[in-house]
Amino acid sequence: MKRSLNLGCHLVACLFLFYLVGLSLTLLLLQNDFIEMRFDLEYLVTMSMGFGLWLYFIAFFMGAPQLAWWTRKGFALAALVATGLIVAWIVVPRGGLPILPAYITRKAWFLGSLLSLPSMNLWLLLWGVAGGWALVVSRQFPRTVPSSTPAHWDRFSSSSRLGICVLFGALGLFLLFYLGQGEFQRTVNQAAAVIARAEVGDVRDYLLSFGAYAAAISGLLMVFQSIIAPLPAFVITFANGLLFGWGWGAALSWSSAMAGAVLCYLLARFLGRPVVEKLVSKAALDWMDGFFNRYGKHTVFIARLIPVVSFDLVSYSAGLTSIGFWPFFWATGLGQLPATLLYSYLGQSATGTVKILFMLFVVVTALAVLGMILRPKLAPVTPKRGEA
Amino acid sequence: MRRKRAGGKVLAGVAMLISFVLLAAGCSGGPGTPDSAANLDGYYTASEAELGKDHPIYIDTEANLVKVYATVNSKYLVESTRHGMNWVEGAYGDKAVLQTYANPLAFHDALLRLGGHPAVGKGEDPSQAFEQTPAGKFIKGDRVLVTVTWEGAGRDYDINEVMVDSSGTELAYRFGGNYDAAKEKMTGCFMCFDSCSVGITSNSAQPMGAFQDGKAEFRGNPDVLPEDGTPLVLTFKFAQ
Repeated sequence: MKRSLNLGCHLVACLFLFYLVGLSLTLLLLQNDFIEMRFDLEYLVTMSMGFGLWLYFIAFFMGAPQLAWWTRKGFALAALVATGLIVAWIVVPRGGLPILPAYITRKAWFLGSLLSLPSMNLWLLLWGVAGGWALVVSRQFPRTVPSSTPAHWDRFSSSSRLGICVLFGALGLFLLFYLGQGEFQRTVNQAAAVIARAEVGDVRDYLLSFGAYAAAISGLLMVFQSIIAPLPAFVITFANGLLFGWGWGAALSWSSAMAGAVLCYLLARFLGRPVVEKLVSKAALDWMDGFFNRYGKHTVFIARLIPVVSFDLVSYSAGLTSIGFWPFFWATGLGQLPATLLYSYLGQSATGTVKILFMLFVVVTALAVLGMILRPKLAPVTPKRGEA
Repeated sequence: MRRKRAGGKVLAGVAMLISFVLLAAGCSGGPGTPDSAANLDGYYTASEAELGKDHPIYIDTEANLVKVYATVNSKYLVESTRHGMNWVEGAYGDKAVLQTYANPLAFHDALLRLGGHPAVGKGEDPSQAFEQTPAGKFIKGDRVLVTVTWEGAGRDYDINEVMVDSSGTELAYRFGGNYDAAKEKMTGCFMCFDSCSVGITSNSAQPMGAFQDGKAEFRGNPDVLPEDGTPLVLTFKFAQ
């Protein structure tokens, strides 16, 4: 009970302090009309609190008390004084005290449709009292961090720690832009809708809508799918065949898939096995380890020829082995070439939806048969049912 | 296990997604998300009494006017903005003094039904929408008179009573049209405070870029407009 109270107190103190940081930043940037007219700055509060929450978990659940910034007297004092000055300087003179803090907080906490501004002001008052109290108490009762946490922050290599920070930073930045920039959000939603439908015609129309930039967008879509695989690569390869003809389409599909593979390989090199295990699952990595043990340096080439083996899993796994960059590069390039040429040709040849569907059916059936033929050969290293 | 893997992979892909979407956003803007004609019809109501968030536009062909339901966004009673009224679902839905709940394309068509002539019609050259003067580019199109009222207001207020132009210039709205730009960009702009190439109506008394160039600031009048979230009805009619 005492431990939970201590944890809760630190959580409130942390969130409150980062709330103040976000609020101050928002109020300051509101003064810049160029930014204000293009960006919903209120979400800086959301992201600042999210950052605080992230620090809280690393500080207390990954054994890194040095990241508990809210327990530092200087940081807390600076945030409180800065917020007070900004409110007094910007908000009060224009009569915005009953409006701006409540408005910003309400939007940042996604309560726009639930609370009126007067109600939000009452909640803000309570929040201020609770936050101030938590800041004082958390300094008097610092949290002791257990030495045996399952994933200790200090046990990660410096490059892994940097990699984790970069990944979460990128995630935070993306979320901030997604929430705050309306046109960016619309573009993401449209791209996501096209990807989710996974229809060749839709992807083609979407790419065409970018005019001269269609090839660049297609390439980025391919790289994107190489990393997180939201849609089968052959859909993009088909669309490229339709759009650019089989030759140029294949060249574009091949080179962008290569870029995706290289990126996965380098990410794995940079982040190390513990992080990659989180990305692609331990079972999948173990399965690929068996593959590498069995086929050695030819693994990448063989795996690329087998359509049922995940493209990105091979790239991530290769990055964790002693396989050099250029052998990986050439094996991937040669291995993916036949399928790329085939799909591009089919994409160019297919005109009607029925024809596309028929060809997809033929291709998928052929791949399934190929997979069934090859599966017994891979059986000794196939993970148990339900593991992957 | 699959869910865990997918979640982790999503994190790994975020960096690439950012670059992809940034590029996409920086290009042509991608395809628009226009409502079909049938969807636009859903914004209209046959009776003034039914005006609300579900049916925010009422066209009175006898009195030759359009009424639009909106709510007050009090942020812009104390901060300045270039948006008078925007659709909440538009890309800049929260950036206006007044928020409305209809697609601006429906508003455009409503003004057309009254017989209004836009500065630039569907499929026309947008460069013809402005009058070029030494003071800047001013939006053309039929002059639109705008009044505002709400429960307890006691009367209809002229738009110049509820909005403030820091330069002291009176707002003079015109039917810019800009259907194609509004459809492509979907910013949600109904009424802009300076001459605009996207807004369905915009203020012809201020040249394009007046707000951005710092020539004038605009906000709602906190001494007149009611508190945040209060429903209002704006009336648009063409000047004779």
